[in-house]
Amino acid sequence: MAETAARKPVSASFQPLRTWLLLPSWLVIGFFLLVPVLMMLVYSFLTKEFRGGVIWEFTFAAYDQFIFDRGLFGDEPPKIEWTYITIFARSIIQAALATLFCLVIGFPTAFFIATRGPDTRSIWLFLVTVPYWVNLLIRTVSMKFLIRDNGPLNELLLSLGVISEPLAMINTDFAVQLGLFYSYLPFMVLPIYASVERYDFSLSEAAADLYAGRWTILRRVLLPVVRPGIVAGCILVFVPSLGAFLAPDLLGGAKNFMIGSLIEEQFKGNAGNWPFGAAASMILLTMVLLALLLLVRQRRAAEAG
Amino acid sequence: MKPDLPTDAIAIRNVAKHFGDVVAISDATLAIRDSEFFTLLGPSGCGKTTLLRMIAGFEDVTRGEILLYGEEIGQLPPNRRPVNTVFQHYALFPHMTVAENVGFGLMMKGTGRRETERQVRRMLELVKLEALADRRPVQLSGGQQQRAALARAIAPGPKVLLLDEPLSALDLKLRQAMRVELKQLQQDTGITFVFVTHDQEEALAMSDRIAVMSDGVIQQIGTAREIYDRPVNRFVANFIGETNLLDVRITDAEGGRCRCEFANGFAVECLSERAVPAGAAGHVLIRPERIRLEPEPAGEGRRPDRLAGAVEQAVYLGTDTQYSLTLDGGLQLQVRLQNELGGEGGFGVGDRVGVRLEEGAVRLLDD
Repeated sequence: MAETAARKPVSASFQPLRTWLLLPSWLVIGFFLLVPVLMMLVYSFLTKEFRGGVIWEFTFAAYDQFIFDRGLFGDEPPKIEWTYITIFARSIIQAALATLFCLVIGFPTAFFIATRGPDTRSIWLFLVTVPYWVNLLIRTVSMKFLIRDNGPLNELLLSLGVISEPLAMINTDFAVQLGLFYSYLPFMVLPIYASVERYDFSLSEAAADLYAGRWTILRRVLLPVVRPGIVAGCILVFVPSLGAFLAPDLLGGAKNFMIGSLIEEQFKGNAGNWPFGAAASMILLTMVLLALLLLVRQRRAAEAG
Repeated sequence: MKPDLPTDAIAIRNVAKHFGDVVAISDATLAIRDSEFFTLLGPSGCGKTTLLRMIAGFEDVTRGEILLYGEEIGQLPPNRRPVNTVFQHYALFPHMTVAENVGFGLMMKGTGRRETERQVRRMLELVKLEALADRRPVQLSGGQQQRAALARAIAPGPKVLLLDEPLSALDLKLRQAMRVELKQLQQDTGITFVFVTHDQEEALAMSDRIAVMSDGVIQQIGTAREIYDRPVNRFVANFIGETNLLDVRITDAEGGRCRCEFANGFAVECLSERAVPAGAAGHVLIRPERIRLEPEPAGEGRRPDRLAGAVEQAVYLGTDTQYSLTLDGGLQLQVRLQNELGGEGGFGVGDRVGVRLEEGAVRLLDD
């Protein structure tokens, strides 16, 4: 009681300022989040102009095209169009795999860093971020050079006699995975690091004291307690992986198309289809939102129960 | 050193612990008896917590042996030692309910679900938390968390319970209440308690025996009374209770008794645990409450066979009044007198008083 009474005047004195202090945030959110999403939503219901751009005529054509095949002239009975659904499914699988690999490598990495001494910790964190000083495009192109058929990796393996013929790594799912993993690993490491760093290791001691072995401590105490960091890391890797276009484009080739490339293509040059690109983006956005919503709800249920 | 009896709950033999170049414990040997409330007492950094953590298995032993009921456990991992710990900040699992916390150890031991539930209920009753069984630790007050941590540690039925400053995070009133409850719990369960604290009052109030530690060395082991009345050295005398430490010269020594002379020339009988040569310098301990004050008869001058002085400061403390005296000849002395009901209350600042030392109040210390 006394505390709230004491606190009130302080917050009251900030009251007139609050609106102004919050204004920059509202502007940023408004201009860079709400407006673009609304524009995308509107564009997805417009009619395409053949040289790119749109005609302001309302239609469901973009969404229809995504799901149904009505023949070249649009007059045949509708069949399910699998092309785009397949691309989506492949993207989800690729993104999920990338998330899994990032977790498997990222968790021990984050744990290792978080358990170093306070002064060496910052050096390790610094090292994790170093590759990110170079532009993603350049890093992805470098990766392409590294793993191409006569690239240094194949050369090395050949000269060591491990393989007798160059491994076909470029333009495979493996290459896409490698690209995604490499692009997003820090987004897994950093949030997990933050939560492990806050983890009270006397909890592990308490569990050991109560007869739990090492794996049990990991499974029953450490993982549940640092779960928020793991969930944050997974979201931060999964979501951008799903929409990634650089890695699939440069490393995956035409066969390993993902949603990101599909959308990118609709807006590139004159051959694109803006409403279709916008519709695909909206579908992607909706799916991600639904997944996050489900996660939040499940978490709340777990906390309440 | 006499051999440890097999009935000793814990025997620590020549245990040392080094952290790199830092010696946390240099050479500790002690025996904790079955069903005893044993306290490791000392200032922070004295090695008491390290010793406790070595018994629990969280720190490995650099040298020496730790025996639990005659069985060497010094090399076992913590989950294979039948001892449980109450942590300083409780370390309750935040993602589990109180009941799940309390049941954790039982489940890990492979106790059946029904038996675990029964035991958890019994433990929660014991610490009066039945109503909060489904709460999470964050929803509990400090005192309730403390009880939950106790219940969790006792539930698996440890042979020895280790408590690492468990009361330090509580406020004074709660801490005093918990002292009584802890002692009661220990007597009811008959479990051997090894309790770590830096709070001498806590130690004196609860312990059957106390080991006073400083700088990684066990200074003295004994009952509360032994440690308070017969401290072996200056550290123990200073650390436990209020103390007057005076420089003296031994004038005459014979057996357990000797005469010594204060700096101001006053000579007095003192007790000594050991033989001391006459002429040696030393220190004596006089507890402030072992000193009587009386109004100085008017007209009396300084006499070498009498101690007298003036009151410098008088602090009223409710039950007692604490006086600071300057004795004739320049010695400082702290005195504590119990206040009497309706009494005008002894002496005021500037009053001249005669000082009388109780029989056996002066004790010669080892340095």
